[in-house]
Amino acid sequence: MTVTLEQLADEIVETDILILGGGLAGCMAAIRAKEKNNLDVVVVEKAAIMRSGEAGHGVDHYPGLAHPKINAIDAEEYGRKRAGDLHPLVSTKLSVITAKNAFKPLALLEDIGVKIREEDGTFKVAPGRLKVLPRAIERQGLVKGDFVLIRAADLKIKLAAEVRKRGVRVFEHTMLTNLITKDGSVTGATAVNVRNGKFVVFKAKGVALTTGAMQSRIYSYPYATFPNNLFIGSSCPANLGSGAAAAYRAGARLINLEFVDVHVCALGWDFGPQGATMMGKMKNLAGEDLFEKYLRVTTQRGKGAFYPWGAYAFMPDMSKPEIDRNVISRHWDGVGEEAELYQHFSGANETPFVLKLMRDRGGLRKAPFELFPWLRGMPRGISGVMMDERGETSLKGLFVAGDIVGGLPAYAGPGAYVWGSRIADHLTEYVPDAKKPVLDGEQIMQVRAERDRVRAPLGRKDGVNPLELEDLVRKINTYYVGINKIEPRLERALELIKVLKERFVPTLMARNPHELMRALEVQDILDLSEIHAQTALIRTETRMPPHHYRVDYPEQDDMHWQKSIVIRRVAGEMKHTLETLA
Amino acid sequence: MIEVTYGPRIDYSFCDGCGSCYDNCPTDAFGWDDDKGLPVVVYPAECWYCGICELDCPEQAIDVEVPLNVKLWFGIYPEVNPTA
Repeated sequence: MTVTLEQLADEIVETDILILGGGLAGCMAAIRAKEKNNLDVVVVEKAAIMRSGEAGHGVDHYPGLAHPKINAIDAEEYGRKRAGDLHPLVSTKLSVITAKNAFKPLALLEDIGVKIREEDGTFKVAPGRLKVLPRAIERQGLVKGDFVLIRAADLKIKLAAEVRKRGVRVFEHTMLTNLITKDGSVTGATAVNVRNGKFVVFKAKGVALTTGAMQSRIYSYPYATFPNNLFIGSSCPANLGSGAAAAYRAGARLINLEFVDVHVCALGWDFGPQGATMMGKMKNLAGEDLFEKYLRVTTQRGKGAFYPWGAYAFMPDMSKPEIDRNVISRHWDGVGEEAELYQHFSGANETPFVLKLMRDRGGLRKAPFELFPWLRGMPRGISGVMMDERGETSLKGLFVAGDIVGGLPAYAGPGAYVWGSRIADHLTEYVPDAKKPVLDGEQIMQVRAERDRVRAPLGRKDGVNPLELEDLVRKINTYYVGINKIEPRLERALELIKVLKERFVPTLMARNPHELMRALEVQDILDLSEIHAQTALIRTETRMPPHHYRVDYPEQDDMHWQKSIVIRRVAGEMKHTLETLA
Repeated sequence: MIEVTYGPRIDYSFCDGCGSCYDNCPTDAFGWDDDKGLPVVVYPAECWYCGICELDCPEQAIDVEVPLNVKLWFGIYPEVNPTA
């Protein structure tokens, strides 16, 4: 008996450009795609675009700038240097493209009312990644910094208003579950409304995947109580990498999945949602300044008490396991007023909850803040879905932008604006020539299987609680994968994940659409955990410890491993190749 | 179900049912009471303390309570009444 799409879906939506994820990159892509043409654009968002994503609670900075109006840094050189820091895991070409275009989106943001400049029209420039720049440039005294402080507490509110003003159709509280593919092209996606449980099929000529990094819900945050521990983290817990998991399942190429991001933070945050700046001196019990003494720093390094944080600011030195054997806290003794002012500025624009915590404890300087190490999943910028210079993935018609992208240094907001705009430009070129999306026999079978998978937890009783399963897999990742990786434990992690997938997932239970979202998310977490452990097992060397530290292969082996591990799913199995990005 | 002491709390003497918290919470921690036309905190344990609900509430009816671990490590201690 043949089944029609109409019988399978509660709602069918057809569009020219489908944007999955309404954060910075998704909103930017939607706005740009509507700039010059009459194409129909749809944004699908798990939460609500006004407050979703890493920038949901506001933004206080615009990093990664190399421009005559800001500093005297050459964009090409800056892009090369940023890629050079992460050589050979990222693409220099893509880094240079990002750096060269990073200034442009400021104009659009100002047009829609985001407060970028000071009252007198100047940019407030902070040191940012100054230390990573060539010393020659620094010595010339020309450089102020690459990091502009902005008052963008309402950034997402303004972007969301613009998205709607331009006539983009927005589907909120709607979670992507999988992509629909046809002969290696992506022709749509399936989604579920997490409020009413409706199963929605989107058909599109071109698809953008802008769902964020694989970070917040891969490892355990051991310092909070269950189930709140699943949601505390240094980035928004709604962004766990569901888009990357869907891209993997659809056969797209992903890169550098073996790495792990290590942070030292309070409340799961670096004293604020999503890794916002926290200043003060980081000390151990002996009063030693850890930042100077024990921590090796990769791409970011501040001066004095000013420590701008970002995607991977801190790398505990594995030969000095201070992090595990001491009490670490942030102290404010002897820290200047400028840093305190900045902390308040940051609170007012990016981390509103921090201001409340400071008030409740009786002031910023009252006592030290205790800090904890936390593994926040795969590092954004390094790990993610691979794209070419048009932002297209290895699947035709599927474009990516923002934190989901792998093989590109983390350019944070500017990365999302630049690539959001670029993929919109390429999609608007690609879409008019693309065929009308037709879902025929094979795609209908895909949709049918997906509907059965998506709906299944709602029909079960006495099954497994999705949050319990999530806690378990994240504990497995923390204990068996974690920082100190060794073959037998990685293999054990894979055995356990296999059991969870085969025996526990088929009993997942959800009492309502909200719990169904959690049941679907944990399946994405399992898929990402599996490829994370698999790739960590493949890389038999240590590189950028603790991002990839193999106890059984403690040395960096450039002879064999000066390459990225690129993975792809073929007939249900993970296949990998070793590649060096241009 | 075990009640937790953390997460968003709504003061219904101020809440006017505008729905901002229900619409915008990134983790969908709020539900909606159709009979009363008011939001309810259904999943407080899924709060990540972004503060958006509290910030956006036009009536300032929401107070996000932090969990014990945060109170301990940030030095926000409960009042102790020795006679209680």
